[in-house]
Amino acid sequence: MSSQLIKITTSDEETFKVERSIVERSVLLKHLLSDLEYDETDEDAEPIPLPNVRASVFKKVLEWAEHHKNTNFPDDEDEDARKSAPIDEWDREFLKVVDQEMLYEIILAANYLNIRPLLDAGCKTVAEMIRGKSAEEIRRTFNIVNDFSPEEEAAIKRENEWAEDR
Amino acid sequence: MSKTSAEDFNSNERIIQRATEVANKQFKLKMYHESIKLFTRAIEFSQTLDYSQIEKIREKIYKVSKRPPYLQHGDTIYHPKLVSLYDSRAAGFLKLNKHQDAINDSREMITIEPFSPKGYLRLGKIQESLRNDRDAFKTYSEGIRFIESGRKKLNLKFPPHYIEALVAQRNRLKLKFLEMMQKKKESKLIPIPEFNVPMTNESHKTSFSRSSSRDPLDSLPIEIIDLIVRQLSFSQIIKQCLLVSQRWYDVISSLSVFNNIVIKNNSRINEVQNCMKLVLKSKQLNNPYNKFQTLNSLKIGYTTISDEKFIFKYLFTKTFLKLIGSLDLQFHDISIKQIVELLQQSSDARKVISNLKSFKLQCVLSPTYEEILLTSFLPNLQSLLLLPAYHQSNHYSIPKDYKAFNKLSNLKHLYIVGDIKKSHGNIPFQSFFMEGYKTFSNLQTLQIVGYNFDEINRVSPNFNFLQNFPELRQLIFENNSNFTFRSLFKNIDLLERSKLKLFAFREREIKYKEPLTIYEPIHLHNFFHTVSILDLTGSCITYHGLNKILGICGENLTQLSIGFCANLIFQRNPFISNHGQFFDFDSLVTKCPNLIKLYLNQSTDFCDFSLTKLISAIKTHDGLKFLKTLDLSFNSGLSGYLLLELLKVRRIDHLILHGIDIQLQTINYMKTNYCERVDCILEKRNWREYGVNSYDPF
Repeated sequence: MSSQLIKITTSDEETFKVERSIVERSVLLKHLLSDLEYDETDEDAEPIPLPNVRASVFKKVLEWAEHHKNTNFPDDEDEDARKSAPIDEWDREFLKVVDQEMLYEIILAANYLNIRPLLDAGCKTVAEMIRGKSAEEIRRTFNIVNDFSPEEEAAIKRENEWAEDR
Repeated sequence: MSKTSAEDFNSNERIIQRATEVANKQFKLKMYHESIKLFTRAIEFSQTLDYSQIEKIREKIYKVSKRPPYLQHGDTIYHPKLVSLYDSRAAGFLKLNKHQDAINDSREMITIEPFSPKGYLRLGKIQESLRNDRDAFKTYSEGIRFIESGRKKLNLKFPPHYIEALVAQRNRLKLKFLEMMQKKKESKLIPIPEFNVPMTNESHKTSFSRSSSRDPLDSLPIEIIDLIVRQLSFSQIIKQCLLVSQRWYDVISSLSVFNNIVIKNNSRINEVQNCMKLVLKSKQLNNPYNKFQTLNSLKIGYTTISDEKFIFKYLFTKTFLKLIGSLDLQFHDISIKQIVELLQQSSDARKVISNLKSFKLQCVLSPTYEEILLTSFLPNLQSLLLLPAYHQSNHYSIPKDYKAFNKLSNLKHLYIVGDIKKSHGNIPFQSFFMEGYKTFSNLQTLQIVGYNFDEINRVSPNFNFLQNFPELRQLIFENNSNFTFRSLFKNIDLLERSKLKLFAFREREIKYKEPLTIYEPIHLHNFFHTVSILDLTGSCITYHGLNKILGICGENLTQLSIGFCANLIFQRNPFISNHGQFFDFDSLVTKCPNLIKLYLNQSTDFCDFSLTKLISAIKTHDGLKFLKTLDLSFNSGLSGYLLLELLKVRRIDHLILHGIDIQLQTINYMKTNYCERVDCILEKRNWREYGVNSYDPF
């Protein structure tokens, strides 16, 4: 029955009730559910604890999973294919509006929960914040202080003339 | 053992009990083999007892009901101790590490008494000992379910410990799973190592902290930083990211991107040195105690000519890098002889390449076959591409007696690509091809492009090609000159069955007027019979020759490329005939029923009439059922409506129509109704624009 929900408790003790199909976007939880033979029809079933994810982050992850309910992600073991695939348009907007701290936490949650498409989208979003920028622009983006002396900076620049794109 | 009469049940039971006692003692004395033997005999003996005896044993000796209450009339009943016997024997098997036997016994226990926890407990325990907690969990759960259902549905009564024992085991595993999940974070993520970074100025920091911007290095573990950095271009990583801060420099230069290095063309020695310094620094962070640091791949394009010698020496003797994946070197003036000499002198240089799997080398190839010596330093090489240096002149002679001494047994792929315009005569490894029987005992791919076979034909009429490559799967010839079938099929009668899957033969001319037709099908059979991809693009094959090959391997073929074959002539209209020399689609369709890809691009006289022939052949024979890709490019003058006719008869996923003038609406109609993809670029002029060497391995 589709109305039966799985209970999940986040690190800050908030309990969510989620449909199985959505929970199973997480490979970690999918395996856990089958290992435990979790029975959502059982009213007294213990909630599954998620000690590493905060409620506010988990909410975002669920929002993402809800949107991609019917998305068929290619089961792509090919590293290169995944690497070169562009970010899904909806994902881009979804991750653009959150602040950097939330973005990092979503990435960490996706990594922990083993949700490969979300992890990829998150990493690509951070990469896009870096791509094409000079060192100074990168510092400004992430609020980083330049702790090189001008001489050191010049030396590194000289040393790295050889690089070419693959 | 003979059947015993019903009255003997008492003495029979004593036999089983006695055997059990002795076997248990043997088990305690660690005489497992003997114990198992005896249990086996007891099991076998108990199975010779008939129903009436077992019923009596149950009733009189064990004081239980004649037969288990859940059994239907007519079901097999077993000796009440049979499960225990299997259980004890399984324990013996476990001691001897015969896990499969133990598993079989425990499964047997479950079959005999599905409502007893014993079988589930034993099976679960074995699975746990094999570190298969998941299956063990399932086994315990299955037992609980089964016993529960027996209680509820069949109204059977069991002692409470039956279920309790299983529940206890299952809960223990459940806790284990949950604990593992909690621990996962700590074990999986590697924290970013702390470097001696000077503390940033606090006042500085507050001035920025209005926004929520944060250094990703503060928030994300290194494995995720690695995923992010891999998205960026190599030059941006080197030229910008390293400069962001000292922490970025340290963290990023330790990442995996420094495992695959590409150095730009026209580099000078100091640039190569700087690159290697950075790479070594990155490597030493991870692995400080080794003299040699491993690197996955390195590509150095043509360097500045004046520095080439220094770079070559530096790379091999000063870097202490050990390459484990691929190396790609391009030299102007360094010869293969110099490389071999350096390797002979320096053990450090040998170490650099000793673990190499794939090697692409462009250098001056010497006339004295140093490439054979070179391979002796590359014991792990699986793939080799040799290219002559750009300016190399053509002044070779073939050594008179070159003895093959080296078994290249690891080499799986060999690509020898010459300069197509010059067509050198001296093919690397040539002497091996001619004489070194089974030198290439594991070679699976051989590609020879742009060489001149004249020398081979002249010097070595006995050139016996195919027998030297017993494992060959892919054989590719392209744009060689003076190639003859005799070179290839010499002594073909002696050829044991080949394992060839792909045969590509793109040779424009075959010298000495030696068409395929002089060979009888029986001779060609051993060569072609396993071929599933046949590529004759741009070759001089005639319909007669093609037909002969298709007769042998047609049924296997999944891909057939016969575009741009000047001698394959299609019938233009029904009024001319050419005594069976025209291409015959009926024959193609019936001979090659399994084709997935068919390339008929730029074919001689291929026109609407040929297309109607193809359509009617598909219709008549219900042929080409699996066709997914069809290339009809550069057959100018094909009309759109006929192509639509074709698609109506047979849907084709991918249609290639370069250089054919077809209305956009027609193409769109094809896309929406029949095809997943239609390629049609009118500007393309001919097949050559596909690229000359379309099998470029790198």
